[in-house]
Amino acid sequence: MFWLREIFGWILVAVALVVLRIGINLALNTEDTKIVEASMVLFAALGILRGGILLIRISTTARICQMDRDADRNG
Amino acid sequence: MIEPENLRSAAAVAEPANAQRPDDLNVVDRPGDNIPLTLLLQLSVFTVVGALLLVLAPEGPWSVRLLIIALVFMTLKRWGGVLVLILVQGDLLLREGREFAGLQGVTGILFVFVVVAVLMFVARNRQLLQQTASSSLFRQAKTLLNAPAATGDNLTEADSSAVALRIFASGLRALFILHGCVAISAILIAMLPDNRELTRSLRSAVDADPPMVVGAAIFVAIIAAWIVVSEISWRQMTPSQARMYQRSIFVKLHYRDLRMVVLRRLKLRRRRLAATSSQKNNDTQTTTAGGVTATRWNPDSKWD
Repeated sequence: MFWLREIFGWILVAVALVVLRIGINLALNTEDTKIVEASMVLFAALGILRGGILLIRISTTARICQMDRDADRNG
Repeated sequence: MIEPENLRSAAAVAEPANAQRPDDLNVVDRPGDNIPLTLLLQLSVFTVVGALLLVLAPEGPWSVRLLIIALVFMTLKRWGGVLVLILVQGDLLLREGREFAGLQGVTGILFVFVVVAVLMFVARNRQLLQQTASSSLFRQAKTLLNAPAATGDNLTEADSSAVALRIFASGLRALFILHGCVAISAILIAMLPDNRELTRSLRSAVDADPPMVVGAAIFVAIIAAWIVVSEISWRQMTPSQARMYQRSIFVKLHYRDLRMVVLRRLKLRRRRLAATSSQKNNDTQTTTAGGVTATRWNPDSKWD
């Protein structure tokens, strides 16, 4: 069951990277630079990235705990 | 301080409808309980939701529309307004917002009013909707037919005026909230960019200068690599470290709840301690006044 959360976390990380790239492009566009919009987009991207990493870490540690408990039960 | 009226009304709520009441208790029924107003409201909401869903997606075939309506009604008990909101949003997205003629002018305002009102009602009256969904239609119809005769005897003039005042106040409040929600929605919708404008700005965001694009791609790739490496190293932790991390995350996520619980317990303990010490002082003064100097042991001074 923890695999699903980890996959969802990786999806969130990928989405965050895409949004991050869009935000950087907004800031780097020399013809029409949009700093304020880029900051908002980057803020959102960092939030998504943080959520995704948290989800991955929680699912990883939960799986380690579960494996340890199963090993204790078996022997 | 609980007032007697509240006690009586609470007793009227707690008592089953078919239970026999002793005459000397003189329990006053809550006037709103016997009026089938809530039932009428529920039926009207169901009708409005059905009509709304029929208006949505007029290009779609009837079978699909009826299927969607049945789906919404069946899941209204569990999902509440979320499903209705998702359907409305999906329909608006398919129509591409401003190009839909039905959303312009007075009809559009009425449409938004109805949608927001239905969503507010569904979100507010989840329990009533669940009761309606779980009880049979025949029983409801019977209640609706029998209710007016039963309510006429119990309602006094003061009760009916109080009910009317309460209904008027709640209706006025709901109207204010509804107007506020619609005004905020209108402002937000007006602030949203047009479809073409949005596409153009997104394209300009993606099509930056080539050297800059390469720099942005490298930066994002570095971040991605850093995340992957840190996650690989994260998997090397021992079970005890994993347990500690789980506990710390649990405390972090539930920090506010835990803080509230601990503060309340501390407050209770302080109160008990203050009460016990004041009682102890009183006891000491009493025994000293009687000529006995020995300190009495107070069993209530122990607190957990």
